[in-house]
Amino acid sequence: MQMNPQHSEGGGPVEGPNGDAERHAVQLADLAEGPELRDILRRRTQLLADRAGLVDRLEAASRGSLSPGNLRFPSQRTRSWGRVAAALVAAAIGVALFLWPQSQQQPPIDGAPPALAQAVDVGAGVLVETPSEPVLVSLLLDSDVVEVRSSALESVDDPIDLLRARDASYRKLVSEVQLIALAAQGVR
Amino acid sequence: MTDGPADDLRRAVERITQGDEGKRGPAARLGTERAWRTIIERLGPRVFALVRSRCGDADLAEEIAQSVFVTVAEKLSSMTDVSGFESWVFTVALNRLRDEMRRRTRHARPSGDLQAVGGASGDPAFAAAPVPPVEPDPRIRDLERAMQELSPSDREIIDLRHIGGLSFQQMADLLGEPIGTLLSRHHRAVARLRASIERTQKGASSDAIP
Repeated sequence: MQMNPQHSEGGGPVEGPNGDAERHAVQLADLAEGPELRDILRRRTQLLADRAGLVDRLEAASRGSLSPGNLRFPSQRTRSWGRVAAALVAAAIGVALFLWPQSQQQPPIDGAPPALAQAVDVGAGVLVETPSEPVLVSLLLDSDVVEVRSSALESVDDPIDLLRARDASYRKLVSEVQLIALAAQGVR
Repeated sequence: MTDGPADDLRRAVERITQGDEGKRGPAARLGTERAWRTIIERLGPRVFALVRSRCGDADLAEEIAQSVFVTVAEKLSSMTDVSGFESWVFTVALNRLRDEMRRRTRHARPSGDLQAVGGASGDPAFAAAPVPPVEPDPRIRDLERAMQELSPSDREIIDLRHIGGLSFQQMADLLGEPIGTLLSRHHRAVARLRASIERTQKGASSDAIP
């Protein structure tokens, strides 16, 4: 694991307009810390950074979001099509739900939006058949996490979608999931 | 002059921000993947460790670190000035942590453990973190205890410098303070840290059975 670079190699370029000031600061900092305290601080940093598989997980979580130019990672195209299909189905279901009599809906769980509460009633892990592929929908109300997983992904443990659910598109995704899960409830 | 980790990181960031105009296909993709891996390797553990030090929760720290790198990945290709890249990444991390601490404080019950989520006053991202699990090395234990006694301001400077591994210039960029001020703050923080450790060690030796 790559550990914390210390002092003069700790981060950005030392050269430049402020290079002298930075060098001077590093020398003074070295004097202030002394080798013993610096050694303990370095050891503490190593302990704090010690997390098995961290780099791999960070990379896996973020690689789907990395799109310089039009470069795309292999699984992203599949995932995108899955999302498009899910969104289309959700839109169609939304229209149907709009026409669905309110009396047929179940009472909500305390504290949860009615649609989400009903979806949770279905249970974690709902398989929804969309025109293009089956989509696995998991709802975890207690942790504020909504997962949408496509069974077409390479691994169902791929955390990318989970992270995106927490991101800016959270609300939109939640509404889609609610609709999909409600549809699944109807199917069952 | 030999290349160090900072040079690797700079090249990796430039590789992605400058892109490969007109290039497509496996080679370009592989280059981008490698560059991204380098960025994660260089910064991931540092961001994780800094957030973990602040919140005392390894799982939350990893969640925040993942969220930070998703944001970095989304915005990196549109960056035009990469000189402040590291400072920016740590700024994103600390803002994310601050938001999370505030969210938790808001949702905490009145009898809840406010201290454990950063305290009710000051900047939640740099308030006293909960005491971590017992560390077998007595030197680390003393250091942890001494860190708890530092003010949020002193902790901030020690954490950014020693856990984040930021240069003074990068800290100046991040905090918006002159290098001289930061150097002075760092000097005072280290002196207090050292004094606190020495007090702890003296106390331990006077308590020892002769």
